[in-house]
Amino acid sequence: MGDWPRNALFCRLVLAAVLISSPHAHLAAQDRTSANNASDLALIRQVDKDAAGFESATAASLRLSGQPSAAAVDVLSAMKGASALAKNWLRTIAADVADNDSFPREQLLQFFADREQDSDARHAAFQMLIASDASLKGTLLEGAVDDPSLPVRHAAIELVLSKAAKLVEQNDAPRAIEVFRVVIAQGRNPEQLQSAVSSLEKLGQKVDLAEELGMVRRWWVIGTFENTGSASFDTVYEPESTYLANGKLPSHWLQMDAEVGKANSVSKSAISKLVTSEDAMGMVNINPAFGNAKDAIAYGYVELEIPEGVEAVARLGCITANKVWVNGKLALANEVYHSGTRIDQYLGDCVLMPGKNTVLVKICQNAQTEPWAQDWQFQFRLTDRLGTAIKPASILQPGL
Amino acid sequence: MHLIPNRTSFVFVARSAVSVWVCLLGLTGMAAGESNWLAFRGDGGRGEASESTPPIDFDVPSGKNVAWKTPTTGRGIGGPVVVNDLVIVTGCDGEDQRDIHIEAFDRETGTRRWLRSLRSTGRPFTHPTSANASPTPVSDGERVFALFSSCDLICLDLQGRLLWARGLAIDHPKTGNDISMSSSPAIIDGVVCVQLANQGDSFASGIDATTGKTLWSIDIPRDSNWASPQPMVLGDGTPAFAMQDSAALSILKASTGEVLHRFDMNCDSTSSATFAPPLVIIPAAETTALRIDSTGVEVAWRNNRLRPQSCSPVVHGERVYMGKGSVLVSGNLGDGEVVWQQRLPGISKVWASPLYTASGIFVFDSGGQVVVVRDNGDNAEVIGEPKIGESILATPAVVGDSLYLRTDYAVIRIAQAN
Repeated sequence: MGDWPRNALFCRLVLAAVLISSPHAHLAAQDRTSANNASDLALIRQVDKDAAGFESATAASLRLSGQPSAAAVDVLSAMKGASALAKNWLRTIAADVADNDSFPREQLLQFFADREQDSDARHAAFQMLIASDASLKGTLLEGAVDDPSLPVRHAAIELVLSKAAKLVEQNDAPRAIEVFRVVIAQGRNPEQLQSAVSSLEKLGQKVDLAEELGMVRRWWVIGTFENTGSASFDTVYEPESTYLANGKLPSHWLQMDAEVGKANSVSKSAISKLVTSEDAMGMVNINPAFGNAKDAIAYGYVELEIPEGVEAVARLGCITANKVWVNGKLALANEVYHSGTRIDQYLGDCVLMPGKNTVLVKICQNAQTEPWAQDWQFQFRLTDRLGTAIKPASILQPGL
Repeated sequence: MHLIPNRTSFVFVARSAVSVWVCLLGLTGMAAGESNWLAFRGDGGRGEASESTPPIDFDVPSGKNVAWKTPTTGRGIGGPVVVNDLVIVTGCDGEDQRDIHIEAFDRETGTRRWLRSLRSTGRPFTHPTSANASPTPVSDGERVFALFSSCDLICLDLQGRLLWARGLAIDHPKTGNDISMSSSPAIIDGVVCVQLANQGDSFASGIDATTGKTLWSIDIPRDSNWASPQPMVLGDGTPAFAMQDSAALSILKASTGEVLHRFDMNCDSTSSATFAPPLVIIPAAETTALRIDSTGVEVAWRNNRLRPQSCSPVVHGERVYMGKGSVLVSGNLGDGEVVWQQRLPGISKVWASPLYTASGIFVFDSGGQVVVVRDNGDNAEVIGEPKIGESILATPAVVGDSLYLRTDYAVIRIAQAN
C-alpha cells in the first residue's frame, strides 16, 4: 500500500498555496473541505455491529487521515451521540489527524475545557494532550474530581489519592484525612474508594465502605432448588414465577424457615432465610444458610424504598451463574461459573420508581469440587448512570 | 494493498514424497522474512530464530547491552511484533483497564512513532496477573491486527491509520471471561482468525483482513480457553488454521471455517500447539504429536513427561523444548522421548514461551530473571543468566541479533553494545 493519503495531503497543501492568492477561492475551498469532512464523519458514525458500513467508513477514514491536524477537533466533535463503536473509529482517526503536522494543542485544550462537549470525546482529547506532553496531566486534572467524563474523573481521583498519600508520608494526618474524604465524596470507582477507606482506617477514621457504595446487605434468601449438571439456569422455580406474575413475593414466604415451593420433584420444600452481610464490600454469602450446597440455586429478594424515580444501573458481583430482575424486569443474566469476580462485575440498565422497588436475584451454584470453586455469594448495588451510589431511604423488611 | 502476503520466507518441509502433506505452517511472517517477527512466537509459531545471536549477558537495570528502553502507555502482557522499522505493542490502563492502546516505536531508537487509544466495548475485567492487553497482535507485514481481552479487534496500517475496528462483544454480548481472553489472533491468506472461547457465547471467527467483515463463525465449546489458533498451509496449498479446545484439535479451512480434520482429545487450555511439519505438537495432560497427511490425522506419539506448564512448546530441528517452571525439558521430535532436563536457576514462574536462538534457548521468569541454556545434544548447560529486573509475561521477539522485550510497562531492545 502506498502513501496516497499523505500524498493527498501534500496535494491539498499545494492547492491551498495556490488558492491563498484568492481569498474568495480560499474560503470556497475551506467550505468544500468542511463539507467533505462532514460527509466522511457521517460515514464513520454509521458503522455498526457485524461490520455494517465498514467499506465506506474505511475509505472515509483514509480520506480524513490526510486532513490538517487542526481538523482533529472536528473529528472529536463528531463523537457526540455516536455509538461506542463509532466513537472508537473517531478517536483513532482524531489521533491520526493530530499527527499530521503541528500538534493542535490549543484547540484540544479548548475542547477539553468545554464540559458541554461529549464526555468521551473530551477524554480522548485528554489522552492526546498528555501523550503529547505528560506534564499537562496535573493541570488538566485540577478540579476534575467531578468531571462528567468518568475516565477523566478516575484519573483526577488517582492524583488526589497520590496527594493524600504524600501528606501521610509527611505526617500531615489532618490534611490527608481531608483529602481522602474528597475521594469518598467524589470517587465513583470502587477500587479507589476502597483504597481511600483503607488509608483512612490507618489514620483512625472508620468509614462504612459498603454503605458508601450503596451495597444492599440484607436479603431474604430462598433455597435450595435443583441445578444438577448446571442445567437449571433457565428453569423457572416458584419464587421466580411468582415474582414475575405479581411483581413481589408474598409476605408469608418472607419468614425465617418458611417453606416455599418445591426444590425438585422428590425433595422437600425450599425454605427462606434472612441473610445479612457483615462484609466490608457488602458480599452476601449464601453458603452458611444452605450448608455449602452444590448443584443448587437460591433466590434473593429485597424491597427498597427509593425517594425519586431514576434511570439506574443494577450492579452485581457474582462468581457463579446469575440473573437479576428489578421491578419485575430482567436486568442481568450471566451463565458463567467460577471464572473471576469483582464488585460491579455485571451491569444492567433498570428503572427505579419513587417509593417501593423490588429486586430478585437468582444465584446458581455448580458441582465443581476444587477449593477455589466453593464460593456461592453475591454483592449488589444500584447506581445512577454515572456510577453514583443510590442509597435507598430504607430497606423494607416484609415479614419482620 | 495486497490481500495475500508475500511468501518469501515460506519453507516447504517435505517428510517424504508421499506422506508429506503439510507444508509450513506459520505464515504470519511471510511478508518480510527474517527481518520481522509478526506474531505470537514469531514466524512459523515455533518460537525459534535459529540464525539470531542476541547477547546472553545483558542486564537491563544497569543498561548493559540495552540498546534502548521506552515506557509504554499502560500495561501489556502480549508480545511485541516487529514489522519493518517498527516495534508494535498493545497496552491498557484507566479504570478497570478500559483504555486500550496500540503503540508503535522506532526499531532503531525506541522513539514512539504513533499511539492510538480506544475504549473497550466489551468486558475489560481480568485477573490481576493478566491484562486487557493480553493477546499478542499479529501483522501481515502491511497491517497490524490488535485484539484485546475485551474482544475489540482493531486493524491499522503501519502509519497508524485506522482501516477498521470491530467490537466483537457488541456482536456477541455474552462473550467474555473475567480471568481474561488471552488467545492471540492469527492471519493467513487475508483472513484473521480469532478464537474467543469462554463460558458464554463461545465462538471462533474468520475476519476479512481488508474489510473487517466476518467471513465465517463457528461455535466452539463453552469453556475457558486461552490457547491461540495457528496458521498453516496444507500440502495441497489450502490455507488453514489449527485450533485447540477442550474437546478437540481441529483444522479449519481459512476461507470458510470448514472443519477439514478433527482429532478428539482434551487439549491444554493455556499452552498453544506448535507445528513441526508434518507434526502438530499439542500440549495436554499427555502431550500428543499428530501427524497430518493426505490420508488424515494419526497419533505419532504421546508423552506425559513432555507437558509444558503455562507456556507453549518450542521446536527446532529434531528437538522439542518444553518450559516447566524451573525446568526446561528437551525431547526428540521424532518419538517424543525425553533427552534431557535442565534445572533453571532463579526461574520459578514462567508465562512467556521460551525462545530458541543461535545464542541459546532463552527462558524468561515472570519476575525478570532470564536463563539461557545451550543444548549440547544429550545434555544441556546454563550459559547465561541475564536480568531484566522487572515483570515480564509476554513472549519476546527476536529479529536479527536483537531481542525485543515487552515488560509490563516498557519495551526494551537488547543488542550487543559496540
